[in-house]
Order: sequence, then structure tokens, then C-alpha cells
Amino acid sequence: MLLLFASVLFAMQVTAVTPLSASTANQHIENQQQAVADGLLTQASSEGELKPTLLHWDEGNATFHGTERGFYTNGSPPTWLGEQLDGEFRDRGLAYNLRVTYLDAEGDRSTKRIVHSGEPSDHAVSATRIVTLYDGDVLYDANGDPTGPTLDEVANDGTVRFYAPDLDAANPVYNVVEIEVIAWRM
Amino acid sequence: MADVIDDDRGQLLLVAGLVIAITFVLLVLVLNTVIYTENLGTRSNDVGGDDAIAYERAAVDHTAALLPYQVEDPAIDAEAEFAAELDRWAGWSREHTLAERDHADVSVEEGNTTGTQIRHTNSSREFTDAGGATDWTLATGVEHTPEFYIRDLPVDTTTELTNVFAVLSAERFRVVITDDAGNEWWLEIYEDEDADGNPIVVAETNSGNRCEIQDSNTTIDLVAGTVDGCAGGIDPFTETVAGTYSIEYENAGNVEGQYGLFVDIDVAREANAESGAYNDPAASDPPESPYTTPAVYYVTIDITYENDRLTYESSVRVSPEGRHE
Repeated sequence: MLLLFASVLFAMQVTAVTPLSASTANQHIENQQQAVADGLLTQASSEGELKPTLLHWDEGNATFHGTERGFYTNGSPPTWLGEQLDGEFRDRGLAYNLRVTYLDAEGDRSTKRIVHSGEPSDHAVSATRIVTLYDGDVLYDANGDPTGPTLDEVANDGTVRFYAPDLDAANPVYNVVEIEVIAWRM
Repeated sequence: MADVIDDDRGQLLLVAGLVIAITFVLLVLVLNTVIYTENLGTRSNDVGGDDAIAYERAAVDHTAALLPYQVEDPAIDAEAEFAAELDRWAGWSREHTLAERDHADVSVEEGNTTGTQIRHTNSSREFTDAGGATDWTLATGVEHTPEFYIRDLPVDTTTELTNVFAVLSAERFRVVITDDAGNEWWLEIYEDEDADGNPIVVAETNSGNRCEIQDSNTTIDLVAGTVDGCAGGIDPFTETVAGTYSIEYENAGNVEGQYGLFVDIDVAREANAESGAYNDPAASDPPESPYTTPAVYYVTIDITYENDRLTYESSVRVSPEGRHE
């Protein structure tokens, strides 16, 4: 009897099931998170709410407004997208990273963190959108108002800096970037 | 016999326990495999359609941002230039889609752009058509005019007026815009007198908005309703006319200067152009005024998006406001 009990115990220890173990239920949750991330970006893009976050930039300090390390680690930018991400993910016990991938002067992809909550787990989901930045786009101030200089002005002023370079000075396009949301359960 | 059972009982229990333990482990492994198989089935229930739609949206947004598109130099093909502009964007955006192993492209459907730039650049020429007619139609069936200006009028306050402009109401130069419902807006440019009896040139619309033309640097913007140096401006024609409308000149022999329009139709296909209202810009350099060159107001773009599970192709008509159904 003791041996039977010990063998059951052994089997249970060998095949430990944790909340993060792969299962059908987990997969459904991941699919839902994927749909939420996609839906959020779709809504933000159709309402023009991606740029206020991408351009929430302090050109003097070359960081996103109000950050010490250049990106947000505790909380999100005070923009529509930041509030929605907090509401959909952080408030429900999910971690998320938000990052922007731009084309550098050589035309290669480089990534800049906007919100960084750590390294994503294997179960992370991600959603992306392509956004075109124009020379005439205006940087947002710390209050979220479009009162700053245009990207073209920043590019031509040696004392201030934006994270992405102007791809072609003769072209109205400044840079073509990809914004990405990565979310996972903690 | 009973002795044998008694002696072997411990060994039997040991083997049975081990068999049960292994069975449990195997059962869990099999169940896990079943679950994982189920996962593979549900993991990617989406073949990437969302990405294709998102790419199409980005391409349409960018195309709309470039419109309305015109090139001032008549020697440059605006449609080809626009196609090259969109091609550059396609190259940049492809850097991002290729990172996800998806191939995306967007291109202008050749011969499927609509729009005309009308120019009159010879400042010492009257606003008559190419054949010299003083009352003539510039364009009909127009729905959008993103640009319409009149400038470089021969007004010089330091000397006497050059008798270009008419005084009498029936002889004044007039821009008449009439929509299909019969709503009419017009603008007159004529010679008048100021309070001291000195001759001045004024621009006046049929609603009574009136502005003095200060000098030859003054530009009248008929779309925005502004006249340089005139605080109130004039009422823009878009407040009066709606839907499709025609743009006509009357008494065009009583005005000189420059004007420019950008309309959303192909004027070359209109009856008045076939009868020789405009000169061919390719016939001489610089072109004889007035002339038309193609510009892009509406454009049809072809979008393709491919990955290992999906091939998506679509054709979208785009105007400056975005997707045009």
C-alpha cells in the first residue's frame, strides 16, 4: 500500500502541471490575447492613435518623455495607446512590451524600446503594425500635445535627436516604422 | 502452495507498484501529447490574414497622404513620379514584412490615375482659351478642386492702371462655378474707384465679399477664400456649390496674369479640351498658356501580400480622403 502511494507520488512529481503548462485552455487564452493585441493596434491605427505614442519624444534628452532609461519600465506613456494597453494587459495581470522597429541610415532594422517589462515568456503573443512617419509630423510634448518641432526640423538641428533617421531628405516620408506589442502572462 | 505465495508477495507488490507508476507516467505523457497535438491544431488558426489587411491599410493610408499629387514641371510625368514615390515606400515597408517572412508589395495600376493640372503661366496673356475665346469652360463634371489660384494680376499702385480690367458690370472678367443643382458662385475682378476717386482693382464674389488687389504679388486663393492683404477674404466656392460642378470664364479678355487649377477629372477627355481649349505642353518649351498636364487625384493601387500559407491580392481606389469606393 505504501509502495502504491509512493509510486503515485512519484508519477505526480515527474509530470508536474503548473498554470503555465501548455494545454488547450492555455492555447485559447493565448489566442484571446493575440486577438486583443491585434484589435488594439487596429483600433489605434484607424483612429490615428499610434503616432502620439511613437512621437511622445523629448528631443532635447533623446528619451521618451519622463523616462530615465529612455523607455518606460513602470507604467506606460500617457497616451491613448498607453492607457488602453494598461487597461487590457497590465490591469489583468499580464506583462507587455511595446517597441518600435525603424530603418536606420543603412536601411537595416533597428529596435527601440518604448515600454519594457522584461523578457517575454515562451507563451508571449505579439502583434505589429506598419506606420509611416512624415517629415511634417510634429513631436508631442510631455502633456501629449503636438507642440514640438517637426521631424524634419529635428533632423536638421544638430543639437537635438529623434530615435529614427530621415530615410530620404528629398522625400516627404521620414521613416517607415513597425510598432509591436508583445504580451504574456506573468 | 500457500508458502510460495507468502514468499513471493513482496516481490509481486514491488513489480505491481512499478508497473502502476510507469503506467501513470506513460498515461500523462500520452495525454500531454494529445493536448499538444490539439495545440498544434489550434495554435495558428489564423493564416496571416490580419497582417495582410493591416499592410493594405498602411499602404492605403500612405497613398492617401501623398494625394493630391502634382508636379510643376510639365516635362515630368506626374503619374510615373507618383508610382516611383509609392515604390520607394514599398521597399521600406518590405524590410518589416520580410522580417516576418512575408512578402508584400504595392504598385500603381498603370493608366488608372485621374486628375488634371491646368496652368496659365504667361502673365502678359489674357485668360482666353487656346483658340482665343473669351467665354469658355475650363472643366465640367468636377467634384474636387484641391487648388485654384489667380495671381500676378497687372496691378501697380504707383502708376495708372493699364486698362486691362473692365469697369462696366457686363464686361467684367468673371469665374463662374455652377453645380448640377443650379447653385452658382462667381468671382469678378474689375476696376473700381476708392474713396478718393483713385482707380483700384477689386475681387468680388456674388455674395458681396469684396477685396482690393494691392499689387501684382497678390494671390487670390479661390479654394481657401483668401486674398493677400485682405483680412476678411472672399467666401470660398465650396460653401456654395456641392456635388459635381463646372468651371467657366466669362469676359476672359479683360484680365491678364496667371492662374492654376488642380481638378479631380481628366480634362483631356472633356469635350471642350478636344475642341482645342488648351495647348499641348509638349508642343513648345516653355508651353503656351493655357495648357494641361496629368496629375493624380484618384489612383488605383494593387496590393499583394504573400506568405507560406496565404496569397492576398487586392486593388483599391484611393482618393486624398482614403479608400474611395
